[in-house]
Amino acid sequence: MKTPTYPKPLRSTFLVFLIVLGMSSCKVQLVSDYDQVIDHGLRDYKQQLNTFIKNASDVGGTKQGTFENNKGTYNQLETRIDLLIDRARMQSTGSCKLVTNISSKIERIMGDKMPVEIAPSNQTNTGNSYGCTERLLILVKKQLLFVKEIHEKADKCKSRTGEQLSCIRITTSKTALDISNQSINAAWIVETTKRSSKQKTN
Amino acid sequence: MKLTLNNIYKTILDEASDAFGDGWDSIKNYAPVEFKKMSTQLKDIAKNVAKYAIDQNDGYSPETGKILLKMQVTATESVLVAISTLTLIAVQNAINNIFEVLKNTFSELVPIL
Repeated sequence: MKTPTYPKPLRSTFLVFLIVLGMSSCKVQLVSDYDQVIDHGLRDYKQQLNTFIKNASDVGGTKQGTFENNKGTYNQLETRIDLLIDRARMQSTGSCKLVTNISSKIERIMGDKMPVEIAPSNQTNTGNSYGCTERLLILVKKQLLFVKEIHEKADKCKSRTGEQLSCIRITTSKTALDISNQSINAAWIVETTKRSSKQKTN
Repeated sequence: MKLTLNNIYKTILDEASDAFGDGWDSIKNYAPVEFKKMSTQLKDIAKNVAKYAIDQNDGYSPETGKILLKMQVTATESVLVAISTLTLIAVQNAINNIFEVLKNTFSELVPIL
């Protein structure tokens, strides 16, 4: 039986039809969707951390400003960030998948100090950007633990009676907050960019 | 619009530069500001540890300085992970915008779609 031959223009129209059909049914998704809970959670966390550290440093050198007296607030903040990490972890399918180029460049700069979580060898195909959201939130928590360590062990303020009390010095609080906020903002800008991208496409 | 190779190419090019430009702007604005902050903060740490060495009521101890340095390394990682994710968002937006504009272009030309 002879195979029917179609005129060239008809064939190209059919090809275009197939391409467009393919394009109309799929959207490329390289990053996870915007998550309002993480967005608002980070905003509230930032507000609570900043207020707490400023207040604690204001009363440095008194019993009120000691670590023991503020342990409860650290626990509250830790729980708050843990909830967000859990949420991101539940939706993550692996490690934080970075753009390969960036990952390799970071490795060249940091050498053996490169965190294993973002090492190129850890960039598996199973990773998604929820893995990165999780990583960003873990880093936010890490900053909190550093501030806690400063308050508990490193910073000391003299009381009126000359006693050395654990505290957060005003100078320390400024630098520590600037650095902590940098990590919080990094996680936050990712969520707000996802939100604005979503609004544009809708 | 006539369906020619040049027209399709121009459509893709226009859309890609607009879409990627949009996403790229957020990285372009974010990255330099954060790198500048890092330099300021590192300078602050050194300055305050030096102040403490002169007067213990001023600045902060070397022990605190060391922890703050570790915090800065952590913040650097945060910024790099954020930049990488922002790049992916920009790429995703560009690809989807190109698809969308091509779909519309072809729909106009092939009404059956």
